[in-house]
Amino acid sequence: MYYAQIDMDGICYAVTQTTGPIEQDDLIEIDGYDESLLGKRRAGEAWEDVPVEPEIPVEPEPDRITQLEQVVDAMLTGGETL
Amino acid sequence: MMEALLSFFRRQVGLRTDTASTTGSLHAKIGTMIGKPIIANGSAVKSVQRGTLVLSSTQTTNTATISAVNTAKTMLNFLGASAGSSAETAPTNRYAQTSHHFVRLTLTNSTTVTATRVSHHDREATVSYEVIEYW
Repeated sequence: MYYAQIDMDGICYAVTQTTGPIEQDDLIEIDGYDESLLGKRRAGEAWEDVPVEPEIPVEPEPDRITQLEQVVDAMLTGGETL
Repeated sequence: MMEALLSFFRRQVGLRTDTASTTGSLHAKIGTMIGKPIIANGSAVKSVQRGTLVLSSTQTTNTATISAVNTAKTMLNFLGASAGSSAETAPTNRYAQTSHHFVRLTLTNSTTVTATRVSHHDREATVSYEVIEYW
């Protein structure tokens, strides 16, 4: 038998092929070993995609050498940026 | 003399109708062997279960439920894990972070498989496993 296991928000975090029926609130019987359900939310009798928040890229800070070069440049130019 | 010898063999071999027993006739002992699960089922494997488990981007451990097994006669196999890449954040941001990829599996009890990792680095990890129970 195949089950999808859901968390408190109804989101599937595991699929399992078992040897027999399991009676448990967070286990939902499914037709097959369907890994595409991982990350989806149970809505009634259906599964819906959960919108993913876009990751905000972090601007990398310049490394130490670049920082020193900037300081030297600033000193050479009297504080004026090139 | 001949009659005594035949009688001895009859007792040793027994009859097909003899009840299975570890101390009885040859027929009785074969009956016992046939009754063993390994012989009766033609395999030493009692059951196989498989699963895929996700550790969320904030989890270092998570569990999955399986059908009950005898933990003393069961092996848990790790089938692999995958996770997105991650790097140190500012101000260091020099090294790739990898520890969130490395996941351990434990057969916690007869119905639970647990996946654990040292750190999550804000990344999901997906783990596959199989549970093989023997007779």
